[in-house]
Amino acid sequence: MTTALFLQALVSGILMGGVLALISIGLTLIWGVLKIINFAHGEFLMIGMYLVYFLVAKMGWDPYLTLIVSIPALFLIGVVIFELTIRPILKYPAINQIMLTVGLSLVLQNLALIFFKADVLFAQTRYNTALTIGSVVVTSGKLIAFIGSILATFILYWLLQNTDTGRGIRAAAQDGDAATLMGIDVSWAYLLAFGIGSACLGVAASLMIPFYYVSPTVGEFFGLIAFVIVVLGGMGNFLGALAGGLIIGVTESVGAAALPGSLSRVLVFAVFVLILLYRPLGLFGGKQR
Amino acid sequence: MLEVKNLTVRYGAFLALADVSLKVEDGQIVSIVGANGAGKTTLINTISGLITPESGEIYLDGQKLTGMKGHEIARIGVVQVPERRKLFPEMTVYENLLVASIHRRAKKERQKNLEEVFSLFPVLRERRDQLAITLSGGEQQMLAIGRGIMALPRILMLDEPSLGLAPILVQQIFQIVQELRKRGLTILLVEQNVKHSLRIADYAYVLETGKAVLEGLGMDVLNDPHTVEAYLGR
Repeated sequence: MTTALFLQALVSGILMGGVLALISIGLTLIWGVLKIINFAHGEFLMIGMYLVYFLVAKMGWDPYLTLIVSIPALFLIGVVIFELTIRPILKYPAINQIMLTVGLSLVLQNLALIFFKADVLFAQTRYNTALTIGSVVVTSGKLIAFIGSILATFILYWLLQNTDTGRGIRAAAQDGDAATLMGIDVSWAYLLAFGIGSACLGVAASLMIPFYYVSPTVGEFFGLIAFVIVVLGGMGNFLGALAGGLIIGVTESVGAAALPGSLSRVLVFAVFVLILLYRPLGLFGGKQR
Repeated sequence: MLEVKNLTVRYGAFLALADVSLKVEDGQIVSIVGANGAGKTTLINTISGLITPESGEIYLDGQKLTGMKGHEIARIGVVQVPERRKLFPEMTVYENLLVASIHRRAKKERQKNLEEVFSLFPVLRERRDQLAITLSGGEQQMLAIGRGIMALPRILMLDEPSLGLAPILVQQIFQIVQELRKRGLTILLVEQNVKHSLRIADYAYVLETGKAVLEGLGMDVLNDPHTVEAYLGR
């Protein structure tokens, strides 16, 4: 591999890693507060991407304008699905919860197949301009997606650290009974956490549409990879998910440039297993979220 | 005034509380003493709404608490400092204090209460930005009580505040409880440390296997032959 190719892969990986981090932060927030892995996380993203696609391709919206719709829409979808399906099963064993969210992902995927067909859709936008920095070429859409993802991540982190609502959510996550005794409505905190975790996917969907295709199965990859990143970062750890996102993004991208076929996915999981061998609780496992 | 009327609590077939009634008058320290497993923690967790009783009612100044949700009970001012403190371990001292005053009633008094907590426990001001988990046992208990004060209690319920503390700290905690009453707080104190808690109590109840077997003025209960024989080993 030449230096130029490596640099190109590295930069592309970092840019995509930022978006992966944002997607994973939604998942890690939900895990941190509710101790539930939402295996339908990727499918929520898929729904968000269809929504954004239609606004951009059919209604002619600017992709970044769709944020005002995609964020509240995904928040609402998260909240409704949480109330209808996940809340009733919160007290039951983890295996039941896994079955539920895996089942949810299958249902959503197949509903998308019925409504949107299996076609792979791509929205043409004006954010495909190539920017050249030295030997590295990036599209404006990818650059904006990276900056937007990192920005969204830090805004969310700041809100969780510095607002009363954020403190309430963290308290509910650390000790539900103690939070109740301090007047915090824990079931409200759960709902908010699930809604916010899902709303992250609204942001990701709007940011990805200029450079990523949409199909009913697009969420499969992202759901799985987000799970890997969450584990890698230390379950429920915010900054861990950010670091994990960047590591996986770069591994995937450099791997794709260096290895034939889909071996880069193998590399991703090899790195995952290696890191867990040495840090079984993840990069930031067991430390502050 | 907090009133508990004919409270019965069951865990499955196990009768944890049997027809317990008690009153906590404003401005008093009321102690509930009894051995491990007597139902003390069950009682205050039921008052806090964490446990649903089989029968019986709980009132604060005539307002019915039974049937309300736990966080609602805390918000109207029935605040518990739980056994083993249950701090938020990954939050700083300051955050632990703030998080107890999120609800509207307490938030209005946040600055004033924060000053009061820091004047009661100057060490918490020094440790303000440390994680709660890094505090010593005594400091953690102070933070737990401080957190309770931040929630603006009309009645503060302390569950085993002296548990696991060195004797000198136990003394200090009981002094603090008395200081809190001087400042106008109403206190329900649940303790295994029978001698200490009866000494500072205005009124007291003895709980045995879920039943209130004895009640009276603190000193009277302390000198009662049954108490002496069963708890003080004299």
